[in-house]
Amino acid sequence: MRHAVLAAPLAILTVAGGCKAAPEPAAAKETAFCNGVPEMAIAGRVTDAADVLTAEEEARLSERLIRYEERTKHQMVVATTSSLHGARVDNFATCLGNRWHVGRKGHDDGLVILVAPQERRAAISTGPGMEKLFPDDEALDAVKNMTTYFKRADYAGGVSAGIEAVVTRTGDPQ
Amino acid sequence: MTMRSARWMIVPVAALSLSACGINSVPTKEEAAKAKWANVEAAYQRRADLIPNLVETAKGASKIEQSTLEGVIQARASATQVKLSTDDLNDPAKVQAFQQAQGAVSSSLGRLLVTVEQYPDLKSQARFADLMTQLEGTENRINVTVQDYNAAVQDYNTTIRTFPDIIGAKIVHGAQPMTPYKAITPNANQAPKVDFGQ
Repeated sequence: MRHAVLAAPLAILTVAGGCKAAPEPAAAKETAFCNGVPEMAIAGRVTDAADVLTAEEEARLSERLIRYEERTKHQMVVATTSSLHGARVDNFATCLGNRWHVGRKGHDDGLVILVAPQERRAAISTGPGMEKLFPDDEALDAVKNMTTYFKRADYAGGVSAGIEAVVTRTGDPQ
Repeated sequence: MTMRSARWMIVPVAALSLSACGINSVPTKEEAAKAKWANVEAAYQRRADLIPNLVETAKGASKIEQSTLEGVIQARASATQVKLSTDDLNDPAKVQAFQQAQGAVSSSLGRLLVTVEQYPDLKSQARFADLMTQLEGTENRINVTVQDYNAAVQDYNTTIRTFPDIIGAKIVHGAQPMTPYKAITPNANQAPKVDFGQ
C-alpha cells in the first residue's frame, strides 16, 4: 500500500523527465589489474617506451601486426616499458590491453606482448576471446622462447619470435 | 486539499534538480557487478581445468603421497558441484558455500605445494614447473577478479542505499544488496611472483 502511494508521484516524475540518468564518472574505475601501472600513451601497434627497438624494427613489426589483423581480425600490440613499477608483468600487460582497448568489442580477442627489459620480464596477455585459441601454456612457451633472444639483447628478434608463435597458432602462418 | 497538492508540486521540482533516481543506475550497476562475477568464475574455472594436469604430472613423476593428491582431486570435484548463478549473489549463504568449496581447493593445493617441496626431482621437471607457473598466474587472476567484483558490489550496494537512487532501488527494482566475496587462498595477501623464465 505504501509502495502504491509512493509510486504515483514517481510516475509523475518519470513523465516529467525528472529522473535523468546520472552522468557516469568520466573515467570508469579501473580494474585491479592496473594497480601500480602508470599512464602510458599508445604509440601505434608497437609502443617502444623502453626504447630497445630501432625505428626500422618497429616498422617491420608493425607491418607484421597489420597483416595479422587483416587476415584474422585479431588485434595484437607490442609494448616495452622501462619499468614495471612493482606490478606483475602479466597484470601490467592485461592492464595495457584493457586501457588501450586492444581487440574487437564483443570478441575480446586482443593480444598484448609486453617486454620489461630492466626487470627482465615478458608476458603475452590474451583477451578472454583468445584464451581458447591461444591458451596460457602456449603463451608461456612463447615467452620462454622469446627470453632466449632477450638474453642476447636481441629485442626485435624476441618480439618477432613471440608474434610468430601467436600467429601460427591463431590462423596466420608464415 | 490545497496544502496536499502544493506538497506534490515540490516533488517534481526537486526531482528536476536531482541527477538520478536510480531507474537506470541501479540495474546498470547490478549488471556491472554480475559481469565482474563472470570473470571470477572464469578464473576459478581456469584453475579447475589446470588441476587434473597438475595431479597427473605429480603422480607420474614421483612417489608423492596419494592422500595429498586425492585431497586435491576431491576438493576440486566437490567445488565443481557448488554452482553459483548470478541471481544467487544476493544470497550470502550461497556465496559462502561457494567460497568454502573454492577455499577447500585452495588449501588442498597449498598442501600439495608444501609436499612438492620435498621432491626436488619433481620440482625441477620442466612440465611441472610450467604448470606451477600457470597455477600461480591463475591464483593471481582469481585475486584480481575478486577485487574487481568486490569494488563493483560496493558501488552497487552504496547506490541502492543512498539518495536519490534508493527511490528507484526500493520502488521500481526492489533491489537487494549483493554479497562481497572473500577469497580464501593461501598467502592471499602476499602477491605471488611469476617469473617468465630467465
